[in-house]
Amino acid sequence: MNPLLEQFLQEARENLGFIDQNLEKIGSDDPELLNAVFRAAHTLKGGSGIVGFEAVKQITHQAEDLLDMLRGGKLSYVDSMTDALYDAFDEVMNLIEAAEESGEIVDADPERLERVVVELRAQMGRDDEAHEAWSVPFTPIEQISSIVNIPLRFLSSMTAELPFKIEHLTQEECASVQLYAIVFDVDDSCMVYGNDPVYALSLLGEQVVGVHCCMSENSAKSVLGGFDDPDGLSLRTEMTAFVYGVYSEIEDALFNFMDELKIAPLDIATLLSIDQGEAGHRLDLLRELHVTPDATVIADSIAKVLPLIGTQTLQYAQLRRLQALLPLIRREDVPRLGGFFEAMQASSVYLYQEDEPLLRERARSQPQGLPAANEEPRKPSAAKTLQGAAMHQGMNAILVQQYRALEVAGGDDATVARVGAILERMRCFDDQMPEFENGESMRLWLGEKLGLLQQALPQTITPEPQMVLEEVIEPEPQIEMSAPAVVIKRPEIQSDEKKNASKNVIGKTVKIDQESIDQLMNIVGELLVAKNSLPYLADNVYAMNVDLIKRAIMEKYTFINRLSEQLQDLIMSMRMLPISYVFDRYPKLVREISKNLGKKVRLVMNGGETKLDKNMIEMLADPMIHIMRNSLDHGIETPEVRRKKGKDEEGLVSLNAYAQSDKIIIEILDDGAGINVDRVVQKVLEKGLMSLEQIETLSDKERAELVMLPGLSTAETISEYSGRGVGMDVVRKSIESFGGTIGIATRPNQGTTITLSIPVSLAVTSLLHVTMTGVHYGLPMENVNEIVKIERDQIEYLHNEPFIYIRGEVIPLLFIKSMLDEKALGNKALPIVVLSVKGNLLAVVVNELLGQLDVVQKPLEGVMENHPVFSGTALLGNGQIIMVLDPLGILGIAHQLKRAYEQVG
Amino acid sequence: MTGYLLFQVESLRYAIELEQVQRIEDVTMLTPSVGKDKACAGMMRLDERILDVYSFRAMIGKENYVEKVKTMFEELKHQHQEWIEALDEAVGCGCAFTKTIDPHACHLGRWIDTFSTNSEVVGELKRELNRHHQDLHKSAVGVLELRKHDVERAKQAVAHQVHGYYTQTISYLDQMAQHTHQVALDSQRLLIMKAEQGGLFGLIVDLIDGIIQVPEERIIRNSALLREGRYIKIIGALEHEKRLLSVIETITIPKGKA
Repeated sequence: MNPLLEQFLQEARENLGFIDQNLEKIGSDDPELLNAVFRAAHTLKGGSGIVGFEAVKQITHQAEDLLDMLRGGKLSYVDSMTDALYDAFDEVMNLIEAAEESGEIVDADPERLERVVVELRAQMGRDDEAHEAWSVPFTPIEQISSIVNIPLRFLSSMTAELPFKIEHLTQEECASVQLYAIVFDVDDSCMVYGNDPVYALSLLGEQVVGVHCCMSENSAKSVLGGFDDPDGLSLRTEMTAFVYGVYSEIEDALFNFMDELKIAPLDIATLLSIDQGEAGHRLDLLRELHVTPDATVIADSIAKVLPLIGTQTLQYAQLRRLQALLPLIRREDVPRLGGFFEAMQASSVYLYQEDEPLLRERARSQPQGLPAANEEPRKPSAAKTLQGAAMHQGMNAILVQQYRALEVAGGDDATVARVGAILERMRCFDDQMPEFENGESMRLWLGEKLGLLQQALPQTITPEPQMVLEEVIEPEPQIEMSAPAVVIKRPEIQSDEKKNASKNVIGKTVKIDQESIDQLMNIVGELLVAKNSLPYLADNVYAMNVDLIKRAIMEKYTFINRLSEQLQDLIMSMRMLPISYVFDRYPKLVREISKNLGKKVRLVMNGGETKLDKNMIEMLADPMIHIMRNSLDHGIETPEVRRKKGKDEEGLVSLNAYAQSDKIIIEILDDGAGINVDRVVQKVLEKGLMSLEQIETLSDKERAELVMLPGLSTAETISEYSGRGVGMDVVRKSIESFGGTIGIATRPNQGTTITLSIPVSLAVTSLLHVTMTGVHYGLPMENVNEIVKIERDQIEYLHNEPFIYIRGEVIPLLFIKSMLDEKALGNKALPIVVLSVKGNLLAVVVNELLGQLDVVQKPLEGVMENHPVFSGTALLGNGQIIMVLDPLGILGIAHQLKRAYEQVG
Repeated sequence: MTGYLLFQVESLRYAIELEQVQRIEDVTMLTPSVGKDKACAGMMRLDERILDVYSFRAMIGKENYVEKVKTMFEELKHQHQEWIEALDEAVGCGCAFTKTIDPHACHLGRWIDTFSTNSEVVGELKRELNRHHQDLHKSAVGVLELRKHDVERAKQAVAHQVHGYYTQTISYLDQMAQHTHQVALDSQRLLIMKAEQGGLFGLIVDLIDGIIQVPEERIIRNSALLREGRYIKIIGALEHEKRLLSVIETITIPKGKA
């Protein structure tokens, strides 16, 4: 697999794990958690973009947007968002798993992908078919004036045309070629993570018109203010790029930085405007400027006038700007320079629209061009610059707001007064505005003028109309006018948040602390010493007698043995992970299943911090899901049934984990109906899985555990979640396959407790070392009940079969004829290992008992894979192979023999 | 408390509820039956009724008792051949005689002591066999005593006297072996059992061990002990005189065969 993809998949799992654990809580009042989830989604999106995992990128992009809107307060949380996000990230997980399996990037099912994306967009109020909800996909540059001086020298080389004024960037405009100013505010550590902004820009090729770099303000202050930082001076560069291209391509190239970029589309009017510096001078010379639709004439006119104007004036600067921009102005836009020339001739500074924001959100939240109620109306000179199409649009936006305010507020006096005051101020722009008698007359006039009376409101630039209405009905007009209610704001504490997010996400990765590494190094160092001492021993062996050699070797052995045990303990501890890795999957599972089944279920989890081997955790996940599903489907009753039984409508499912000796005990409890044991028994009999006599010998617990018999299902109907008769059988096999056991206790109408007993680790297996016919075998110590030696005449033959009788227990005795050397046993007492397998005792005769061994067991491969009797192999100290016997396999042999005996008589 | 009849087949011990057993009889000559189940040993007349008689040995896959008796006679001969060779060696070279001199302690002696028969011919053979077998063992005692004082005379006594008793004993064993069917019948017991489907049937077993009364809780039950074969259903085990025996719940004979 591509190493980059491999790394991405690994990180994706961690991020998805984090998201899965926390998504349910995003509706809480914890903004930090929401931020952390957002950043995990952002990281996923970034990573998927790097490796080219398009389907994941598409989903995470939308999910990230939704989370961003939530954390920015632009959307209010509703439960359906969590569901949509869960669905989305589940789909991402499916894709990740498919990629892990295939080793390459996979395509998503187009229908599913579309469904997920559409659902996320719906949550954001984005309807793909109606563009009204489209919003600007980037963070706008707040102080555009600070960068408009920069691009002039780059623009001279451009041959393209720019729009005269982008009032509000639309989706169509965004999809076409524009000149964008892009300010990079990248994190100091970006290069450390391989995120090179210059390289990313280079992907855009000739679309990059120019890049402007300068020392950051803080760096400059450090240098100018005297530098005394012992760690050295770190100079940070601020970078502004000018790119002439389609936004989506820019986003593709810079996707990894999108959260740290501020972007503005540039237009002629913005580039012409200068709103800082000294006021201009009234110069008659400026009257010489020719106002004409002919750009060539204008260029000549400017060329004549410029030498006559002082170079320190703003008028001079603005004319120079116009001179540079003229080639970029579209022919049809040239007449729109009227406002510019009027300002020049009035010896005023041209401001297309003073402090007018460039972006739609700002326009929505901060109605521009409208003076505050306590301000004087604009001076005519400035006001005249508002004439023309742009002014018309600006006025219309204001009038639409007033109309809506009247519609919503009706005859509210305060609103009528406020709207009346605003209309009075705008009267100077509309000679035909009548005198208004009341609010209704205002509403009718506005409706007629705007054409709103019988039709839907014109599509505005706001993604959320109701939010606009809320702003409009705000009782404090001054505040409403001046303070934006909805502002796209990026928190200033970006870097700190990022650190926290990293901590949260990476906190779920397998980490090895420094102390463990140090301990490891110490042990390895000691091992080296031990290793190096062996040649010395070899050199001196001639001068030693046998006893001395033996003692010396045993000393070394003891030393190395201690180190290897320490090493083993340390590595085992590194592999241990909290069981919350498994538990954290269940809140969502419980929520989804209970919702689908129409049940109310509360999940309580305890002991998530209990540690278990990493491999064990992975193997535990699926069986646990099976059990949980059974509890929810068959255990917990519907609210109606629970009510009738006098129970709380809300069922309780508890997950408990705790350590007990060298096992981890996991309990899954529910307070549901319990298992109908009689029904189970009836089913077992119906299906002929056991005889009545066999069942009569069973305890209550063993009867409840009949639900784990292969092919048994007591469910009358097969549901999505259980009832196929394979579930609990598979669960038991699965649990037993890694050395665990499963037990069931149930009480009618009080619930069921399923108890899993899991070995802490699979890595090291403790074996009883035996031999049969000279071959070394290992029997898992966890299954060894006891070891006995029994004389042949103590063997009891019952109905032709051998048994041993120990302390009141009658235990079947097994001679594995194909392995055992019976002649070698002679008439001596038989070495017998009593195994406990699935609650059954079984005595196995062996040739020799050699002791206990701790080994790293290797699974069988090739033709030996899935062998019925052997579960693996291990190496002995002398290099010989030891075959690990599977107690379940041995039990299988015993059952086969039993069946053979039964066939006889 | 439940009453159980204990019986043996070879070394296997069984207990069956007394309620299922109507009575115990000696085995008489059976009339062979044709087309019956393989475990059916024949038919017999009992109280004006004709009963099918089944062999428990056949039910559990053990060899026919006649074969067992043949084998037993061969083994008894072989054991006494070893016995006389050991005596020859002890007297000849002076080494210790490790075999038994008690006529009731050897296998043959034990068999003679336990075997009873209703057959006059076999009864007469048994009496002669017993007499010569006792003489054989007793003569060995005298020879070994003589060996302490006079080796040569002891050797002569073995050659003439003891070997004579040995030849007679083996001869009577051979004659008994010609009546293995009768010996086999006389060695076994017949249980008259109540059949599940009503009626009676006979069941031939090797040996009756007795009758005991035991409380239900003494029955050891676990899944490893459960057996449900074609004829016999075992439900557990019972400890009796420090040995385990299988507890039979039912013995089923093929339908329509009772």
